[in-house]
Amino acid sequence: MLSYFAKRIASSIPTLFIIITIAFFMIRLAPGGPFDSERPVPAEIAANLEKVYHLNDPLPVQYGYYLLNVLKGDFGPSFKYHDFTVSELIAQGFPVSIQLGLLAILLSLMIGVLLGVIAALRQNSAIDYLVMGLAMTGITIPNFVMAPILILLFGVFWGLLPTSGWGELKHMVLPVIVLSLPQIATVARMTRASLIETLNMPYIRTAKAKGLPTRLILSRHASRATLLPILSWLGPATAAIITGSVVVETIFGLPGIGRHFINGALNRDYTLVMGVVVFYGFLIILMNLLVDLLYAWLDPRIKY
Amino acid sequence: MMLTIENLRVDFTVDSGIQRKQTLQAVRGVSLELDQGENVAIVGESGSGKSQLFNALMGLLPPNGSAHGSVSFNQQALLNQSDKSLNKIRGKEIGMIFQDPMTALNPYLRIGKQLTEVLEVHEGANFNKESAKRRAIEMLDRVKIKDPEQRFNSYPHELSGGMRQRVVIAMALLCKPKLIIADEPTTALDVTVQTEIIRLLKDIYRKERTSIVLITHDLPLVAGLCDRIIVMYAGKIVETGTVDEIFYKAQHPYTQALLAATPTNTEKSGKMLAIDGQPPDPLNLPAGCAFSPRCAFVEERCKTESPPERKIDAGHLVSCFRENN
Amino acid sequence: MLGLIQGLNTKMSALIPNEIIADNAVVGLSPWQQAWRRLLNNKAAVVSIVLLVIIAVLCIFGPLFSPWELDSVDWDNMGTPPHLQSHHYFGTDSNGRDLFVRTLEGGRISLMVGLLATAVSFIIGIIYGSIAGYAGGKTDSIMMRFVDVLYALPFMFFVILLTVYFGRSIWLIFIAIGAVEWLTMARIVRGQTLSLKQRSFVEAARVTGASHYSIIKRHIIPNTLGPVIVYATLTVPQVILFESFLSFLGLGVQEPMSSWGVLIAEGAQQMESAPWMVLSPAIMLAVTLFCLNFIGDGLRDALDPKDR
Ligand SMILES: Nc1ncnc2c1ncn2[C@@H]1O[C@H](COP(=O)(O)OP(=O)(O)OP(=O)(O)O)[C@@H](O)[C@H]1O
Ligand code: SF4
Ligand SMILES: [Mg+2]
Repeated sequence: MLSYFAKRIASSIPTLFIIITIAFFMIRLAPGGPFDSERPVPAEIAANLEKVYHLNDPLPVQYGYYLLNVLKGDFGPSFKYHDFTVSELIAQGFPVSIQLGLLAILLSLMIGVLLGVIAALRQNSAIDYLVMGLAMTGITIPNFVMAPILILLFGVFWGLLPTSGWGELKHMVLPVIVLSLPQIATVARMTRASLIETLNMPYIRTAKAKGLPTRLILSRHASRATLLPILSWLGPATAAIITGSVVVETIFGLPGIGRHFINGALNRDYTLVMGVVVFYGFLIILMNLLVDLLYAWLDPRIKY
Repeated sequence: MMLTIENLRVDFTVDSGIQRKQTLQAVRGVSLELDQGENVAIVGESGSGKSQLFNALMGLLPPNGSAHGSVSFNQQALLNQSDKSLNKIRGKEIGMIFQDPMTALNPYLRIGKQLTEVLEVHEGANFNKESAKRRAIEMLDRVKIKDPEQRFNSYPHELSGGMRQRVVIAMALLCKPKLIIADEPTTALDVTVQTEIIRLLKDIYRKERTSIVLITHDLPLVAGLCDRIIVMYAGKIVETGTVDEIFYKAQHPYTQALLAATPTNTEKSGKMLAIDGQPPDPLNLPAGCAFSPRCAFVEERCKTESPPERKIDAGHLVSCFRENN
Repeated sequence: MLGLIQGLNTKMSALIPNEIIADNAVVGLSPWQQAWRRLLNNKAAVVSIVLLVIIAVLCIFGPLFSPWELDSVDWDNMGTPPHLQSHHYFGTDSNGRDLFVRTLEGGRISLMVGLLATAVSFIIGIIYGSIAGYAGGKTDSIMMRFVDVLYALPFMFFVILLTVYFGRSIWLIFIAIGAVEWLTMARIVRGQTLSLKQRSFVEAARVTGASHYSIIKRHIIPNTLGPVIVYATLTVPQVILFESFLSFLGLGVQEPMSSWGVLIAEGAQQMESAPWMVLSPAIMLAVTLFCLNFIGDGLRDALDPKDR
């Protein structure tokens, strides 16, 4: 088991390494980039950049320094907000983004699995079609369309929920809903397909032939096989929710990493955008790693 | 009579997405009776409806299947009953053994759990974990599994095919059922393992007097184990009789063809019987006798009328127009 | 990991054994004709095809029938709701620009991005996947390992990073999206190729001395088309969505050009005073995405009837 862990962790290092490398060379070599000498830069920043990026050293050495700094969690100073380092900005936004993200994942799992199970158990009934229709809607309507609609309904027309601001639970309701709707839909579809497939397995027929009640067949015999594939949803879901949070934080004006990211992109804050990309890449890799380890732990057939 | 099946029909709704939905008749009016302690074999080509016949009476049909007719087991109606009332019989009064032991066990649960849960659901308040474990281990020993204590804690993938089939048999036996339905229990196994499993079933029958319905392709296999043989073709019983009657006085051309066909060894499934011609398309069954396109003795009326059941001897019945011998 | 999820879709219950389908199929129809019949029997897919054709025709020819231009300003009608006499069928925005024209022109861009980027990924994916699968062995494992690594990269963010450097150009979006989406396509084609390689007609072609190139072209690629077409159909809406996402954030298509994402972003800001502004692009986008998803699902069921 331990050696499997080690192997799996080792295999995700190259990916992270590649992300950092691509980010570095993109920022260093891009025409019109911050290090392009044709563009005038304020002296103060120039000196700062000089120091942080060791611009007088050859490129490979610079790359080495950068790698070392990133490993220490230091992405350098922000290009636009001179008083902050990128790491500080990320650290500021992280609590907001992680709360949103975790709540969205939790909500998606709970509601999605519930809907999927109901649909699968009533396969081809009206309720199944309803759930699958809703799921199709949830997957199709983009979050940047859904958010304005919900703001209009709950915020403007009915005045039930705040449409911006941060700090209280009520501020999280709409953003979390917008973030989770597509994921609820995805989980519901996956659960339905997975449960239907599982219920067609010969071992479920064996369980029925043994006289087990439906409740026990579902909870003991079908649950693990049904939910294991959902586990692998977590990896892509992290990526999707991070992407979604960029939109949601922008629309609802929340102080998370996503908004820094977009502001950075719009303001050409190279170091910030780059730092966030590496950080996001790290999060996604971490989640995929976690999923694989959980998988290995839950499936007795996987040999370590 | 322990088990009485009357005019059982099984239909499947088939939707190819191209044409309108069609009805596939997998079992077309089967009647049979089985006494306590009696052993019968059901033989017939692939697709003749053997499995679905018994799936229907156990309430195990796929979702697109439906069953009609009547079945009673010890005076209790079985067909189309609620799961709740079926569950008093399934696993307790009637045990089932399936064709493919590789997939019949849940890969995520330990063997022990899958065994003891049979007792757990059927003994209700009397269930005792410790004694259940002891009995499960005894049963594993009974079906000749080595190191039963250790195997109790194994996962299915840690066992060979033959061992898994023994586990499935042990599972079916735990509640001392009155009837065991074994659906091709040896087809998926190596030839040497096949004979061991059959020997085990014989042994169980001798000691417990449990009735066994053995569904199989393999006529020679059943000779030593069963009292009666029922031959099915295209969802109907075409001939039934004692082992001797079927082996030495077969009346139906299909039965004769089955007997004459040399068992050919295919790579995995062991012996397979090969008869000239194709089995009929279940969606386009020939009018009249379903065997007529392949029958060497076909007459004009075979192609339009269904042959009635004729009595040759007390328990020897055949559905064919041809009266020979 | 993604593969697993996609696998799920194709693994769903196989209620009906294969032979029955074969027995039941109308005699004399090729598999493609059978698939086409099945597709025509799928109401949602047929309705979607019709709707999509209408939307495409409207986007291509609609602006020709309006007196207004993409950026012409109607000083008399600034921020007015839909109004037929002035030929503002979808109303105007706060700058007095006609939304009918802007929405349809935006649709052109969105649809074009969707089709072109998918085509790019389609071509790269087929070539890469069939070569990897056909070559097999070490070449295959190196090529697919490369795909695995790319898979794990957060591409969305690289695209945004790119837009920061190269400015916001629609070409960048094509290339970036096309370059990302080929990964799954390559995986699918490779899987198919691996199993096709074992089949007798490929063996036969090899024995008769056909070149690798002609085997891949004649025997491999045509036989992988089914699943690839399904995936391509489902890629188009993803790409359109991605483009709208970038445009919505202000990182995609730039003024005065419009795309549905741009229009939705503008509309969302004035939702309370001028709800029609967000409505027309949002509805068009949603309907298009719905149609494409339904067609994709319908094609999958039609080409692989086990899945129903
Ligand atoms: N879910 C289903 N939908 C439609 N037809 C089905 C379904 N299940 C079985 N059938 C059909 O019912 C008929 C009888 O099947 P059955 O499984 O009883 O055959 P069998 O005699 O047990 O064959 P084998 O020896 O291969 O197990 C076959 O023609 C089969 O194709
Ligand atoms: S009824 Fe006719 S066709 Fe059928 S088995 Fe008898 S002789 Fe042959
Ligand atoms: Mg069978």
